Amino acid sequence: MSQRSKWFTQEYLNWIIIGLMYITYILPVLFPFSPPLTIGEKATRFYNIVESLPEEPYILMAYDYSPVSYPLFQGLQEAFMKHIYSKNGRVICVAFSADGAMMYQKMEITFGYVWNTKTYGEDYVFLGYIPGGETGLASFLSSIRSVIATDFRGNLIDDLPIMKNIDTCTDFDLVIDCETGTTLGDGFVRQVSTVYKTTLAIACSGGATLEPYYPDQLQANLYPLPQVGAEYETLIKEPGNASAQLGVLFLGALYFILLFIFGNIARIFKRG
Amino acid sequence: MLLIEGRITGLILLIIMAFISIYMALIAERWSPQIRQLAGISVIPELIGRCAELGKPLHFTTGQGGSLAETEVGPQIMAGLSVFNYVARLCVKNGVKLIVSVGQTDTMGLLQEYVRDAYTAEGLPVPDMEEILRFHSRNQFAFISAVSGLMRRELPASNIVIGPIWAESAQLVCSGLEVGAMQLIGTARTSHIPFFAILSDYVLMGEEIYAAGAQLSGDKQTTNTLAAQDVSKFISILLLIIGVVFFTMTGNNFIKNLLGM
Amino acid sequence: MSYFLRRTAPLWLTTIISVYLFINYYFNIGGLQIEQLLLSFAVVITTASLGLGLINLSRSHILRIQRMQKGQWYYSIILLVSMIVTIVAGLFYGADSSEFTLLYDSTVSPLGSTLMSLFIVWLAPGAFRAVRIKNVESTALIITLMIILIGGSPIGSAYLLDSLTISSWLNSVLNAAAQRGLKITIGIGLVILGIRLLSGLEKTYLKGEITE
Repeated sequence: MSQRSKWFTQEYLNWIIIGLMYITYILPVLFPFSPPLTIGEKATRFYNIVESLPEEPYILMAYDYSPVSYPLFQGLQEAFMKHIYSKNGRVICVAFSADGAMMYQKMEITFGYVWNTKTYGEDYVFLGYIPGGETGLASFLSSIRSVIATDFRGNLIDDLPIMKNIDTCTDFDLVIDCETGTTLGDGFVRQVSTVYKTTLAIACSGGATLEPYYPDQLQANLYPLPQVGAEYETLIKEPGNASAQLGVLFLGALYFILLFIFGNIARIFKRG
Repeated sequence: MLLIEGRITGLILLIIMAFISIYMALIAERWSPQIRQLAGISVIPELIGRCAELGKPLHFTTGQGGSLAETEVGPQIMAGLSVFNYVARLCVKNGVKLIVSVGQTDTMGLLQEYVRDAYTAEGLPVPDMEEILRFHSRNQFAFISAVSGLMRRELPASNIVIGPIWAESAQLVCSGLEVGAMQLIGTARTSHIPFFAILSDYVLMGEEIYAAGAQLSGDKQTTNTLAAQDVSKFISILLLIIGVVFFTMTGNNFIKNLLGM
Repeated sequence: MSYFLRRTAPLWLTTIISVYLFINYYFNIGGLQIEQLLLSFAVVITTASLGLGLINLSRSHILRIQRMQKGQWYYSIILLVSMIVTIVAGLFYGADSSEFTLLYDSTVSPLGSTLMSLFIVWLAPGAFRAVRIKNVESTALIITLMIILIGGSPIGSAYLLDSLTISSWLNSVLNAAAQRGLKITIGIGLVILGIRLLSGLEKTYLKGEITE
């Protein structure tokens, strides 16, 4: 390599890397494509768990992620709720992080095309943000009415048909937690599985750290996101937001793999 | 039945651990085991010495988010505060400027008290707390943006992080790397330990941060409880080995059934 | 404040409530209602700590404005104004109102995404430089990294199905084993810390209150 080109790459290397990264992520947005998809074991297991739920199941779904992570969970959550509604299920939503409440409201817009056909208070409800981390979770699961009296919209929960026979964790057929970074993952395993033995699924970007609990205490460990969301959408035959991200994921992963390879090749040449 | 099914073995193990801890604490004056000095702890004087030599400040943080009241992160924050008590005193003694990034709302009072005590112990006037303790945000990325900016402006020679850290961990460590700081990071958040193991100079993994607080307190009774921690680990390892061997050789899951009693 | 109120009373209160919750967890003593009440107290206390954070934050930034701290005071004004506007919007319109949602979606959401994207902009050049084959351990690390990356992305799912099997094995066997070890030791550390707290050996949390 000539002296001039050496100087050029050293000086502008960061810009080259970031520039290539931008091109890699913009291309699939401008020219969308869908790579072939193999359904993995985790999505299959979760699908089977939902299929084996009784008719009209009651689900507790927790929103524990921030706006940054919304695209990771949107596909999986919406596909899951469509699957549950196909069984005439009821979804009780709650948030154990402050941002979670806003994420539910975001989902009211993006999932509005389904929820508008359902009745709030009968088919779904949002109970709001429960502070306190795992202690708040323990309190909530032991008795919902000891923690809150109204839902997020101010309706008394005793007036809501969906909450008629629901007060403790054992009243739910499945608990699903959507979170980033295992904030409450271990807490959910301790409080839901160990204490109440309720079926538990966790969708988490840091799912690898929950692997020790899988599959005994954590019946479904849903990661990596949003790939497992795309697989689940394929299983229920309703492609959505997660499937739309596969092209970006594909090229993004390819970019980093090539970056690592070329980084090492460049080092060999530099040493040479 | 008086005892709740499924929790009996847990209760027995807990009683055993409590008995061992309290017994160790009671015999502390007569006998203390030789405690292996954690590498991450023994390097703290070196980190502070580096700051003194270079005339640069030391940056400390107990991580971001959560509170002392939370089950998962409260003990980690407390471990960080125990280490901070030691670090603050050493910094004041060596005339090193201390900068603390505060990411939890309920630790401010405790941190102020530790700083005040450190200066009072050296007979020095207590400085402006605003210059030392800087509360940034409870929001994850707002916090790390503030810390990154602070590190680029203040250029600390050493960076100590003991407490709960989330996705901002890599950015935190790399900010320290960019300014050339020597780093000691400790957390019990298993998902982010790999970042620190690779990127930082010294790391305290998992339960070492709880042991760090006990070791640095210098109190014999507290240090002896570390021996109780190790005895409990040996019991766990024994149960694991017996369970694995029996299950592999005979297909008998009796240890799992025993633990689930 | 007297020594009794600052030290003795909190220690006794913590011990009595902890022992009660402990006994109620393991024994059938019919104390479920009291346990639920105590747990709901914890939720209230955590909520109160959010208010404490608000006071801390306001105090800190008002001081900066009063002192016209160089390079900081105007940011403090922006922060306090934003805080007041958000609180007023939440109180008057409600947290579930479209006004409050608009405020959140137009500020917090894009700002959080922007800050997160800074992470990836930094990560790429860092990865190029840091992920290098230097010795046996780093080679093993990079090979594992590549397998997990390929197996966990659509590349493995589309074209390299063997990587799915290998990365699944790495996750469920090697990773799970390491995580189990960490989790067991962290759990033991937490229990011993709890015993130290209850027996009064650990007094870190008893120090101090905000003065000045």
